[in-house]
Amino acid sequence: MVAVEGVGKSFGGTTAVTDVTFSVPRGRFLTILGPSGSGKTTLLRMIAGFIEPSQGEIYIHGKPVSAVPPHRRAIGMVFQRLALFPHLTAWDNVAYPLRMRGFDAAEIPDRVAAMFGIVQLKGFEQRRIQQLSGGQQQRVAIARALVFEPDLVLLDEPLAALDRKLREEMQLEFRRIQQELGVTTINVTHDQREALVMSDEVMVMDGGRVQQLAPPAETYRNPANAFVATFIGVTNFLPAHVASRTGSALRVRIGDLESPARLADPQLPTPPHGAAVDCALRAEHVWLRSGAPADADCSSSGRVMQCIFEGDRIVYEVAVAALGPALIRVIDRTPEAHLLLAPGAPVEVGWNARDLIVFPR
Amino acid sequence: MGASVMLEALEGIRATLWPRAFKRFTGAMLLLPAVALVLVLVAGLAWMGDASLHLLDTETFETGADYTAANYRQMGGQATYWIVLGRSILGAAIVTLVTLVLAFPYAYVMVRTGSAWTRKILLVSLFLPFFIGQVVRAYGWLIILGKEGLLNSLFGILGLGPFKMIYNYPSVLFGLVQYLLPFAVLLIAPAVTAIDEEIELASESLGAHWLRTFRHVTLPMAKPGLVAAALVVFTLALTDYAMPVILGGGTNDFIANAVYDAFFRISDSGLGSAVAIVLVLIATLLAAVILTVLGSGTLGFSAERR
Ligand SMILES: Nc1ncnc2c1ncn2[C@@H]1O[C@H](COP(=O)(O)OP(=O)(O)OP(=O)(O)O)[C@@H](O)[C@H]1O
Ligand SMILES: [Mg+2]
Repeated sequence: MVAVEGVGKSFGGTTAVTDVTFSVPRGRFLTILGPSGSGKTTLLRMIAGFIEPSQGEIYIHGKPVSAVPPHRRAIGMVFQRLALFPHLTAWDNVAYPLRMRGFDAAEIPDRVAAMFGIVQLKGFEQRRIQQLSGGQQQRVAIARALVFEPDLVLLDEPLAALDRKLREEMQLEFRRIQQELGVTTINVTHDQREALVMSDEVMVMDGGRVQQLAPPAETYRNPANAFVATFIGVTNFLPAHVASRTGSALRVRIGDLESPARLADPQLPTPPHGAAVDCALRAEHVWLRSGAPADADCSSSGRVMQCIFEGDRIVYEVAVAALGPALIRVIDRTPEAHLLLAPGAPVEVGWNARDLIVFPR
Repeated sequence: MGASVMLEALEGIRATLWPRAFKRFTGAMLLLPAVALVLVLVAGLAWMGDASLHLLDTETFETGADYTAANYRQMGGQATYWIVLGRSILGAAIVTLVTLVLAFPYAYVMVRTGSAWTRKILLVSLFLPFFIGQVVRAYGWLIILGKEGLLNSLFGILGLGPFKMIYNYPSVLFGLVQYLLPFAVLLIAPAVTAIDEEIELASESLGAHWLRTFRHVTLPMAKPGLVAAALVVFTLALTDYAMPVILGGGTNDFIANAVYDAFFRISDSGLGSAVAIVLVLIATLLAAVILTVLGSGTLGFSAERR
């Protein structure tokens, strides 16, 4: 449906996007996830046709589109700041693309009305944009981008400005509409939760380059590199050395502790004995017990340094003597314990081999 | 320490002069200077209105005591006044149109350009004319466009001309456009700045090429700025004095020139006042027309549907 091949873009001296390749099959939902300045908007604008790529080519339906101006591409876009027309009513905003694209005037009212039904905005047709709430404006923007049945919809962080509750509602809402209409979608965000919740596939970007392209669970469980591991989830990074390896079984030495571990990418050759590596350990994959030793592949004792109560979870920072000065972050959301450990409390921490992910340096 | 004592003393003085109870009048107080200024204008206008209703005795050069519409009748009876009036209104309309057409792209490029240098150059060329008075600028055009002027000597070298480029209607209008362009740009630029560039991109991605984007999005959204610019340019052009005198050389008088002539050439303050009053009435009326035509309704689609 959409294929991006070796696309790059530089503005004068700065390179915004480097050698990006991916494709989105019809009806699928891809999210581009990356920190601020990683080139997400630039990439999206190249697909929309506002910016010309410096290298590479973009194909829609198998045809190269470099020479096609934005108004001739059948792409609906929801912008970072929505970009609704303030001088028109909600109805006229949604009817705009139909009029501009020369739809039969007789069928325009039906199409627009149907769209207001889909985004659940019936009764708000004659409102001015300023007379709508943030969430309602969002729905108008989505309706406007979808009403002309585009081949592809691009979302440039349109939900970022909403408060958390509304944002999570709109994420599910958009996913529902997207699946109902079966429209191919590329979404951009720097909110990892949004990426995991909404997408069929997640493409993680950093510094203008693709870091990983995989289904959400895959990017979470098997981060391709240290960047992806830090960017998605709360992750501890522990410098280590390879202690031993027998076949695929790997043991590493972290500080005074030796632990079984797993190589991030099993395709890669196992680093040699003694090689310096980085180990990623997600905060929610660390067991925390007060008193009894943790029932895990590797465990050690430590002391709570800080305790942050976040309601649905508790975040601890734990000093583990055997691991050196760095604090280990632990997320505890076990329901049965109802534990709230005060700073200074002695604890046992532990983890399983499959959760200690080794990245060669 | 010293400062706080002083502030307290000041606060004490304020409290005696303007007790808390007066607080709700503070807004009205702040309006006073502006109101006073307007009142002075209205008083002057009232005086002129009164003067326009007395006839000048040509024997004694004293104004009569009786109220009469004779000045207005005399004006209406003289073809010259009708010609001057028509010339002024037509001229102001043409100048407004041309100025807006030139000012919009200027303001647009100035706001949207990605190059800091382009913006700087456009801004400086915009403000430079403000430092040079209108009269000096008009003389500048005389030097360039006159019979012995710069352009004609250049044409002379090429064996052309001399061409008569001043003391005609187009030269007056040209001078007015050049004089009023910066005002229009300054009034339009904020309106363009207020349009988020993403909105224009959105219009394009929704299927409108740049011309339709301009017609359906940029233009209607910039309308407040355009209306303000049209009002200012139109009234300034309609009531201008210097350009018709200098670039028209007395051959293409506007109403303000007629007022001047009545007051200071033939010393008939009654007739001068009458002409001035007519000018004020016409300017007000036309401004109201501009406001109602451009100021209400949108250029959007709402009327088209049903
Ligand atoms: N028109 C431009 N001229 C010069 N540099 C630009 C331009 N547009 C973007 N850049 C640069 O390219 C890089 C990527 O920008 P981009 O807007 O694509 O980031 P982003 O991932 O969308 O960030 P955010 O999450 O903050 O929106 C940035 O370093 C930015 O400064
Ligand atoms: Mg962006």
